[in-house]
Amino acid sequence: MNATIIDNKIQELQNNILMQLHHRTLLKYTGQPIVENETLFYLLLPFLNGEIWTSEQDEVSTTIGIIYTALHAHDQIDEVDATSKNQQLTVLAGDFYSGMYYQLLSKIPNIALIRSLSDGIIDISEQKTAIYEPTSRPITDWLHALTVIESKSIEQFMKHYHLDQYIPLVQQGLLLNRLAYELRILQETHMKTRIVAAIEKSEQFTSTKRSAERILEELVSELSSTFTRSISTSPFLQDEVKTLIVNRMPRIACEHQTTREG
Amino acid sequence: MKLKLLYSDLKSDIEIIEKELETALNSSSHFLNDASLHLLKAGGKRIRPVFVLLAAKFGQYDIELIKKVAVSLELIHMASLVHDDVIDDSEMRRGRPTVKSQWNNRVAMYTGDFIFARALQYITDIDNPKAHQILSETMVEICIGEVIQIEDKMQLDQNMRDYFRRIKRKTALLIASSCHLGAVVAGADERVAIQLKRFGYFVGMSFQIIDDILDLTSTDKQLGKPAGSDLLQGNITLPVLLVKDDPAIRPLIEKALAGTMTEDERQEFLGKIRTSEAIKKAKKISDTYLQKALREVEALPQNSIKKSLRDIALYMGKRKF
Repeated sequence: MNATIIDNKIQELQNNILMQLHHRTLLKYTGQPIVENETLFYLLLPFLNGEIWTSEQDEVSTTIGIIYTALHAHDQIDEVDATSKNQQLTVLAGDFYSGMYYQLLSKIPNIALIRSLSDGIIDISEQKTAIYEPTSRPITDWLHALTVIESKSIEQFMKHYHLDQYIPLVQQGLLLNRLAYELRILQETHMKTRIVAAIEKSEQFTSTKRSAERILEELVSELSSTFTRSISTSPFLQDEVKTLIVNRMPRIACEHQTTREG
Repeated sequence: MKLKLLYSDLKSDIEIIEKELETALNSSSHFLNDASLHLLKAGGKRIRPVFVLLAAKFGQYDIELIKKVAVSLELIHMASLVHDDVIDDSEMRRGRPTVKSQWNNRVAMYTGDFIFARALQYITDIDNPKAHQILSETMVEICIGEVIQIEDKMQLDQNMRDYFRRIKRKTALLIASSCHLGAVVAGADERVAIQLKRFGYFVGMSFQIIDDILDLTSTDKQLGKPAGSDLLQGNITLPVLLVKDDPAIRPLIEKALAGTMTEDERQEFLGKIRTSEAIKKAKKISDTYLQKALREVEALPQNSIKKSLRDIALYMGKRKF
């Protein structure tokens, strides 16, 4: 499967999500619902690797994308002031998208999956809230929190369809994307997000007094190596899919990888 | 009479639901636990669970099964309140600080998402696709209603149809679905389930109109917020729609919508609207819905629950506060 076919499949999924969520007022004030192409790539990974993919899985993958849009919308709410029309409608957009994912799965109907995805959203909400708690935690806790936030819904989907072998790859790939994103934001804006501030406060870093940027660079570098190893040694990934994944790794991660291993 | 006295027959089952709500809101996150406990302590009338239970009495009543529906509906209501407080920038609810004011907007968003997901966890114990279709459709419709409410805010040139469309989605739908789901999950006759759904819809419409009247006729102390808050927030309710063309009141309404109303002007506005025909007319419209609700009760099969439904409808449609 070449890169164009993959991009087309991701685009098709993206279009299905947007079609299901179309709402004139929400579109006008909050813009198109957002779900990252990279998230959709990992959601479709088993299909891209040639696994049997039913029409139900196709339909359900749209609802998984919708969950990401719903949760993403609520991440856009300002901590202090949400009084603008755009913010008020973003709150409702997230709720509307959540209702839509439930409605679509009810129509299939796949009640067991609704249950499993709800379990996942509970986990995600708990991890997101933990970032606001004042307690200092070890770095492994924060990496776990980010893994849950980024990949739990896809994980539940894969468990449901017995595609468990893909889960570690999805977790590593999406965590790497998130860390690379946090690093890029920090480098470009010099602003620490809540999660970066929390990571910086982890005990193992307070003693060494390393900067947040340095910590993130190390994490990205380390995870890049682990992920690259996981891909190259995977017994079930097709060679061309392995290449595709490596090519899609965040550039920042590849650069660190080269520095580290080169 | 207190509402709880009207459903004293359900007391033990309501207690089961209260306990289940407590369990449902339990979380591994300290913040979510605190926020949820906070919501539970704030209480509430538990109207939706009561309607679920009463409607289920028209079928095979099994509290272990039906409590899943009742808890789920109350959780959905709670989640929407937490998010509404962010939208309305509300500091207080039922005399307590809101989740968003105690923590922040983002924590309130995640709390709402957590509670909503818990609601779905509960309802998925019910293996009945129709029940899920009813509930999911209701949830989508409620959101669309809230979007419309924001669109209609500050728009004085709206008509009564806009208002009724809004309150249907804002309040009546969830009460209608509570009744409908209670009946469907208990396996009641389909015709009875639809009658109960219509009953819930009419009660919900009557209830919301009374709520909108009380926002203008109650004291600040009774409300726990300034009387006339709906208008001050830009929400045009039925009594305001009924007086908006009165030249003595319209300038005051416009000032409220422009955010330039002084305290003296608020008092003047309240004085004028309270003595106008608008309150009486709005009460009459609420009463029409109440009568329709009571007619639906009459048409239901004979059983002891009919009296409870009638009494609760009357309570909700006639309440003074």
